[in-house]
Amino acid sequence: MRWLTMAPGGYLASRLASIAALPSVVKGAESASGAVRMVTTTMNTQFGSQNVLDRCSVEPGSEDYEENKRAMEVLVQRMRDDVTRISKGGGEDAINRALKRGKLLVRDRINQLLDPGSPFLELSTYAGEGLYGKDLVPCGGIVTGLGRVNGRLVCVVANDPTVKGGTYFPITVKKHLRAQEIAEQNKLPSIYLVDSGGANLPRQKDVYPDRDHYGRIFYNQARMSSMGLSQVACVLGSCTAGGAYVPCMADETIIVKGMGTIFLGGPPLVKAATGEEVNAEELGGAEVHCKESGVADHMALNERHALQLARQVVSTINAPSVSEVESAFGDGSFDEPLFPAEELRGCIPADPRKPFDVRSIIARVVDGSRFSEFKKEYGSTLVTGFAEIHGMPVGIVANNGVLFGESAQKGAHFVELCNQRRVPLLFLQNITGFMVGKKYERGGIAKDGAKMVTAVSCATVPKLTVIVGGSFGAGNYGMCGRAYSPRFLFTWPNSRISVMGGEQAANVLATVKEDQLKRKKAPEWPAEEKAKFVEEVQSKYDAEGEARFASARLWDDGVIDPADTRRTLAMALTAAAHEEAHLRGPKAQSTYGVFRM
Amino acid sequence: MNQIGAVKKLLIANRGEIACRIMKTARRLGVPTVAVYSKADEYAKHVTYADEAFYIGAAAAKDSYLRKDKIIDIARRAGATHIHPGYGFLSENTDFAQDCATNGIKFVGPPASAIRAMGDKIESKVIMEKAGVPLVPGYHGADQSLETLVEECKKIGFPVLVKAALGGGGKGMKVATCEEECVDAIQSAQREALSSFSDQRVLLEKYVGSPRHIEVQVLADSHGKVLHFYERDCSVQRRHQKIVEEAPAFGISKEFQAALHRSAIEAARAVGYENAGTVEFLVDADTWEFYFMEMNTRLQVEHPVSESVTNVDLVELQLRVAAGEELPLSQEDVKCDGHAVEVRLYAENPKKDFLPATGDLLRLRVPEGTREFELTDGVRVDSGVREGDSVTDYYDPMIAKMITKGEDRADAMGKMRRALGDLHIADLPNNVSFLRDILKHDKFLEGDFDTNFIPKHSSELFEEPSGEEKGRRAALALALRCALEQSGSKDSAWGRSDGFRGAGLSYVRQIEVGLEDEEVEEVEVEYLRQGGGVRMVDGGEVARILSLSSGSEFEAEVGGEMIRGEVVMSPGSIHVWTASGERFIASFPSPDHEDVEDGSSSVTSPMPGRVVQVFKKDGDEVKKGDPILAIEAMKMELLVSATTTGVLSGLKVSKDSKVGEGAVLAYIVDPAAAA
Repeated sequence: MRWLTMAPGGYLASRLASIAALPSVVKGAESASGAVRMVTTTMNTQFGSQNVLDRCSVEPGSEDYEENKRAMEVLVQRMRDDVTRISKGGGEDAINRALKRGKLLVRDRINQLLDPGSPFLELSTYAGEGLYGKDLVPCGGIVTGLGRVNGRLVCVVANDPTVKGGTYFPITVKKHLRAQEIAEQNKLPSIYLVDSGGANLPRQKDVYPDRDHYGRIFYNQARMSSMGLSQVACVLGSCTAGGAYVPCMADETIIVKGMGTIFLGGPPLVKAATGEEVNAEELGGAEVHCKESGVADHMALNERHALQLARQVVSTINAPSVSEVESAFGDGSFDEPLFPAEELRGCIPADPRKPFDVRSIIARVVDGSRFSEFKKEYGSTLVTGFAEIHGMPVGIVANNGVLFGESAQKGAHFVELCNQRRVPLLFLQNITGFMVGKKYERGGIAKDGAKMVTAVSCATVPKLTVIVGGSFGAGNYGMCGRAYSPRFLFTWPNSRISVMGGEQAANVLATVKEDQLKRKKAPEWPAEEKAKFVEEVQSKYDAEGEARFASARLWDDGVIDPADTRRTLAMALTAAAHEEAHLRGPKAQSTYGVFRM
Repeated sequence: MNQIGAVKKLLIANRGEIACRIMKTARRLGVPTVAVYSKADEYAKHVTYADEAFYIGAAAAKDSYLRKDKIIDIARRAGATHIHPGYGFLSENTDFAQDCATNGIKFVGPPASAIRAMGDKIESKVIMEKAGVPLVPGYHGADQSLETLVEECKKIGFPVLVKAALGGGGKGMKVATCEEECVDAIQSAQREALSSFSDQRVLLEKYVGSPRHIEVQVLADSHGKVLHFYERDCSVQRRHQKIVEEAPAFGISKEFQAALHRSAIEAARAVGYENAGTVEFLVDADTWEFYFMEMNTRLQVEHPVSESVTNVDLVELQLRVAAGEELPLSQEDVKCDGHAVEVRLYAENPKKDFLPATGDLLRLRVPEGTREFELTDGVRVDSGVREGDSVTDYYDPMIAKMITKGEDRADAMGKMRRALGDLHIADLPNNVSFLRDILKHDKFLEGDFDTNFIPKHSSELFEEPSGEEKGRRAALALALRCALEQSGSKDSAWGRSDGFRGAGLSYVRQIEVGLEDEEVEEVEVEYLRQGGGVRMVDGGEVARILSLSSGSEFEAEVGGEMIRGEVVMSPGSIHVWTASGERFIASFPSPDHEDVEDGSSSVTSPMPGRVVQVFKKDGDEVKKGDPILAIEAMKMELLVSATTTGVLSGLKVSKDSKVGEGAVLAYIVDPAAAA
């Protein structure tokens, strides 16, 4: 084809130019399986380069690999099934009720808010799983995550009204606060899709009064607003009592006519308190708040319109776009790892006692499988080194066995190095703990561990943690567990978190108990009972150590398919890079959040 | 003798493709060119083609391209020695030809006398009859009394065609199939003739049931030489206008062909013709008889097919003749080589009775290797517009004409089908698909067609694609739309528009889509993680876009079939062309929330003031428009009425209440909700 003639200057020239400039390259779209390799990225192969990792003994087709993969895929499938169930929210009846009222379901709302087809990094889908006995609170009754709106990365917090009317259970509060924490740490605007009956009244003691309870949500909103992090609320349903403060504390608020209501006390409470009879729309509908009270700023005709308005609001936020943030890392080109992401499902031995080389994971996560290892020959049970993910530099700290004094010192050194160079840290946890025993205690392993914990605690660069295997004992601490405020913490479905392994715990407890019996001069513990005791402890530990048990309690930000590790980390690193971009950009001059007038 | 130098400067009193085409030859011959343009054509292609250009007036043709005085004035100012009128506009205007002569400017065309003679349908028939050119049995006498006309109809034998003496383009034409219809047909034709041409004279003709339109290209010089350049078959017409033309005519005998040519030359001689002209014949495909219809005293739209088979540049010969040269070849030199076909690409809606369309030409891509305005064995496209131009309703909605040549008819048609497949026009409704359907039609390919071809085969020509095909198109359109929406860098974890969700979650979105003219419906589209395609949730093919370049070329896989093509976005729709020649439009209306009727349920005060009267009580049922209360302010009394129908609720104000501007005075609620 050729152009018949070039339009020299017709008045449509500009329109044509805009068409020619259509962003439209999706060559070899990356698949989850990694089966289609990116073909457009430059092969930045340097001959003789020494830092390229090989397969690291993970060979597709080998018996070990296939066995590992089978085991992992069982777990991944179980997780998929769980998530599919959880994503149905409050069940069929509640969903039908919502649909009948013309509501969108919570994830559809988020889809409408985000740029079409853009990714959404949903956080902690397992939240609330099995926490409240018969009361099911799928997804914690609230969907949170990061997504792109008009090219800007935002933190989305969306109530699911099909789950207990969107009321706040303790886990709902925790999840809401965690999302706000992520927004604050990474300096992202927040968008609240509000549709909640407020605090879950029967559980008020666990959601209302404490520091990290309901009130903290508004505290965070005010402080983030003062930092210049926009707070936008979209009222799509009821916002009652405490819930009313989410839109009121927001910088800019949208409300749906005939659907959204905001009031401190709903019609039943008003009647009880003052005897006044009033319907919800008169009390706190869109007309009232947009025309009279000024509690809301934009009146939407329906939900889709409201979400469209929210997108419009985000387009006016003077915050850096994702592409601006990315542009700090070069031209955006990078090499994919040499091995498909799918092979990450076959790296971890099905039998957790079997050792494996953690470099096999690194080789499948980092750009071009290039890894510049630091102190390779020293403290070799900890692997440290520099790499890039989607062109973003990262310092990797990965377990390759139990932590010895040298490994801990090496870890501390490397973490300090990254902190000095302003390179974000990635911890790949698979740790049974620090080495125990006379020799090691005498060698001062406790103070070596403390060095690593200190270095990790005080590092100010963004930290990301992925638990790919066990996370036991003080190993969890030295390797940037939840308590060390990593920006994001993800786990693989096979991972286990507990103070020690179930077997060890059971034996420790049995020994303690035997000692007690001895002290009391009681008759000897029958071996049968002891075995039963050991088994009980072990199975309790095993159940409580599971990834989904941990995730239900928000000890992490979500369980991920190992094959999604690279993509997830790339998204998390980009999110973390927003902090720097925010600090470089124009600052809000006020120490106060925006007051609603 | 070469006298082309006598053409010192040529003014082209026309626009669009024909103006460009004439300039192209003039330039080759070293003749400077002058364009004229209207307000609407300031940026037009023909203006940029010329060496000089002059503004002649407002957009409407009567104010510009039909302004004889201005054009002649400009010719004099610019020093043009010759004026080429092209076709249409002033090309067959006797007065203009005369005015040119009076002003010492050579009109590139026949003398005014020949134009006049051939312009009058009755006069021309008289001349032709004398010259022995066969005429349709008919009546073209001066006696226009109803009795005479009815009598003549009977003489001719039914069916009889009644047409306006000065008519054209199907206006004032009526068919009387039997004696009973005769009077009606005559009177109706007279009325139309009077209103359209201010002359109610009609003529009568034998109506030919299966007519073919075959015309002969002739060219005469001022030295008495008259040559024919073979014939063209222009039978495929819609609304009495040609859309497919070919040369030579298919399926006619050598003798028949020779007789046609002879008659054409005789016709030209009979009026002392000079320059290029076309003698049109009506051919009865049942009896192989031919009758003179009329002579067009100008270069015609479809002249390139004759150029193509005879390998001459007719415009060059026109200019040489106008320069006083003798035609530089003899009849024996004019050979017919191969077969050529031309299609006219119009901005129109074939499915809506070929209603002309206007709009912007966002895309005009022609097949590779296409030549413009010149002889070629490949594809020739003559177009007066460029990508980015507009087709307005001021002038003819022809976008371009495309010409292909082959060793024989089948070869030429095959090339044309391919060329039409490679032709991309957006975002104007056009007849490209329709032309392609004609060129695929068995009857057309067999040569079994006449001027009724399109109405006769309309059911096949307007056939809808199968449900399966529509499904495939929808899948491809949706996948393309999703890929075109890629708004960030594909190398970016956040920029990729792959609908990434975590394990166990999928991205499903609702998209409103309409194929071609069909109604828009909302479909749910799921983004597939594995392989990165999209699929409609309620079934349908998986479609994956494998590549999409910035130039809009794409590679896609739909239900396992690889499809290559191009896509162009226009506001609210995408245009898709596949390498196999399919084309379709998918529209994606964007929701316009502002358009949603504001069923406002509140009653507000339009200004601050005092309530002077309240007509309704809380709980009353009100109909939209019912007065609710009256407010007085600034010595004005204003009625506040119900904005919708429902039950009044929350009315708190009473007489003498003070209200603020925009204050909500009451609500009107849905009775069901209130209960």
